[in-house]
Amino acid sequence: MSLKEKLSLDFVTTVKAIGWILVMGWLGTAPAHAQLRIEIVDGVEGATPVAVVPFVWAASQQAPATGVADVVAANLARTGLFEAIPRSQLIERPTEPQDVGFGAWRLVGADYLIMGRVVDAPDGPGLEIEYHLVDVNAETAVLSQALPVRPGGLRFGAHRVSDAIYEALMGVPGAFATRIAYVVVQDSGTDDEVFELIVADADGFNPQAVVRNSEPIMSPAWSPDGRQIAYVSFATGRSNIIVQDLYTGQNRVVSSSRGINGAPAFSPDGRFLAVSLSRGGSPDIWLIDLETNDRRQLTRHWSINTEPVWSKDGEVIYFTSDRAGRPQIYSIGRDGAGLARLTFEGEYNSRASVGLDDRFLALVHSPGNNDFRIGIYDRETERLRVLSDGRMDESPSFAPNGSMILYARRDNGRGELAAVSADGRVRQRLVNSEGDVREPAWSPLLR
Amino acid sequence: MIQKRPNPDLKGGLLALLQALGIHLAFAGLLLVSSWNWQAFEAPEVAVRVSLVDMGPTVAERERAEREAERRAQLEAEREAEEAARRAAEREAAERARREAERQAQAQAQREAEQARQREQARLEREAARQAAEERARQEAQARERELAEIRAQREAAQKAREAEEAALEALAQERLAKEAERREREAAERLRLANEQARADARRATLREEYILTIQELIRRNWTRPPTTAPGMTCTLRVVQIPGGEIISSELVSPCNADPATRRSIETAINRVDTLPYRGYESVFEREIEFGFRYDG
Repeated sequence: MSLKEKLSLDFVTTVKAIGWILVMGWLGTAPAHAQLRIEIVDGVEGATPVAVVPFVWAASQQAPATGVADVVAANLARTGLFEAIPRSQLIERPTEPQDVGFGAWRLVGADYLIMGRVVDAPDGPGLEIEYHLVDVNAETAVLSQALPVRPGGLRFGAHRVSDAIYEALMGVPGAFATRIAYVVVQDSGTDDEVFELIVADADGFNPQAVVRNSEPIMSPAWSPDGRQIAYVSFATGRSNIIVQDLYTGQNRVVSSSRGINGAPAFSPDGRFLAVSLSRGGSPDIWLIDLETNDRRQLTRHWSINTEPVWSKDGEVIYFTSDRAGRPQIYSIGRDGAGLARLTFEGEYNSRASVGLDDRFLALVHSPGNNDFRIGIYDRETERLRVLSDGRMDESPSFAPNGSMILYARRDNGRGELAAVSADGRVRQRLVNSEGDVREPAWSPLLR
Repeated sequence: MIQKRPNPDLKGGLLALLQALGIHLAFAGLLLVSSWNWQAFEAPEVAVRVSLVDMGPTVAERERAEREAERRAQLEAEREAEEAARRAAEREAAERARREAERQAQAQAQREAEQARQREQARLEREAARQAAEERARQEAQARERELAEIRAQREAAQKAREAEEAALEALAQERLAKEAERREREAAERLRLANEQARADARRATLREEYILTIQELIRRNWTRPPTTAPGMTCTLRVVQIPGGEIISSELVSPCNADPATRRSIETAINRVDTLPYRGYESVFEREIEFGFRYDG
């Protein structure tokens, strides 16, 4: 509300109020001036209804099959926080806020309206997405922007639009314009078996093979700047930990000790890798300094200690250990002090992924019936909630904004990508190419 | 008790004696008839024996036979006389036996009659005793009944008297109460009428205000779509200003508010969705400023 509007409203208010007081005074029964307070408890939990009107295509090139509005609507719906109003109920096709008939949209039940158009970039090649986010009830535009996109980058542009809208409504950045990495096995189980390290858009589109090998590839992990991926390669016939630069294609072996070299995880500052090394004995958690190549052992136990992940501040490492008989999540300080067991619920908890803050850990959980599902462990309430419904769900990975969890599920013996909203209300399979998909990892926010 | 009794069985005893005599006579008759029959059958036996004696073939033989027959006849006569004497003795013995039996029967009958008489007498005595006891019990019961009736009558009379007294007292009290109530009522009537009028006016306003609050509360609650991200323990106050007619002219979240941005937005959306608060019918309880306390406890 502009200052001018506010002043004029205040003026009207004042005049009306004075008139009212005069009337009441004349009647001589002015009510007591106790402030009226009304408690509103709980409300109705639900997704916010959003209408995404198809964007008008005003560019010179051919329009793509899937429009910007489709991508945005699918993105928002996938979070479980929004509900896209079906296209059949979109009564008008406005492109600008001033074209919006608010009464009609109120009747449709939309709280927000997203609209826009795609035009040629005013300078140089590429396109521009003009878009508006309108609050139907307040009858105001929340967001109006023009986003330039590179040639061929319309879909990623739509993800950026989704991010901006998500942040405007939720107050936290969206994670749509991010990437995911995963391993896909082509011709799994045959002599022609090929392992690929794939990087794709967060919704599973635009998959691109970064590494391809006939020997297994495992455990991809993103660097905090989103430029590098650490992974385990068996290209030499035994396990090595490799860090690969996605932009230059360069890679280097950072660990090839005797025994297991596995489960790399970048520290939040990107300088260290937490890994699991057996060095001939049982696997323990180690830290590798990527600058000096120094390594330091964190855990010393005859049991299996693996799958380290870092706390957001980099001070604590969460890992999986079966030192109590069955795999459970433990934490240990980066200096090797303060070992503690975190999970106690169920027979099996492994492969933690840290949410937006350290309160929530996504993990693979089994109550003991051989079903493996994705759970979310709330460290504050010490409660574990199962989010997925598969039998062999694995490798949960939090979206960088904590809104969703990516994981791999098995369908007819074949792994595929799935995502679940952090509240467990929306589950979705992601489109992906042929092959057996494993170990997805969600990138950090990309700038 | 027996001594006092009059002699009721004299007639009965005579009757029993006559009956016994009758029975004995009947027995004697029977005996007589049986001895008659028996002698009538003896006669033909003698005639057959005489015809056998007449069949001798020679004179000597006949003489010898005659002598023999004479001797035999003599013997026979002697034997017959003997027999007759024996029979007479037998008859006499039989008669004696009969008499003895008769006597014994008579004695037996007499004993039996005496026993019957004694049993009868005992029965009569028992009966008399029973009747006497019954009579006594009856008389005693009657006496008790009379006594009870008397007590009852006395009691009833007393009760009636008491009731009458109580009724009189009650009537008196009622009268006093009625008078008192009437007086109070009369005294309070004016004051009460005035107070009631005041209370009715207040109550009308109070219930209407309550209804006003509930209506608004439900309206806002229904329109508050709370996002899943809302953390339990969230409390925020939204201050709303409305004008007569219910139109909301301003709303703002009051600091501090611990809601996340999405929840803040949902609260503002709830008010914006409603746009106009209920007004018609609530004019008298209208409030220009309303504070909404939004809360989520998890």
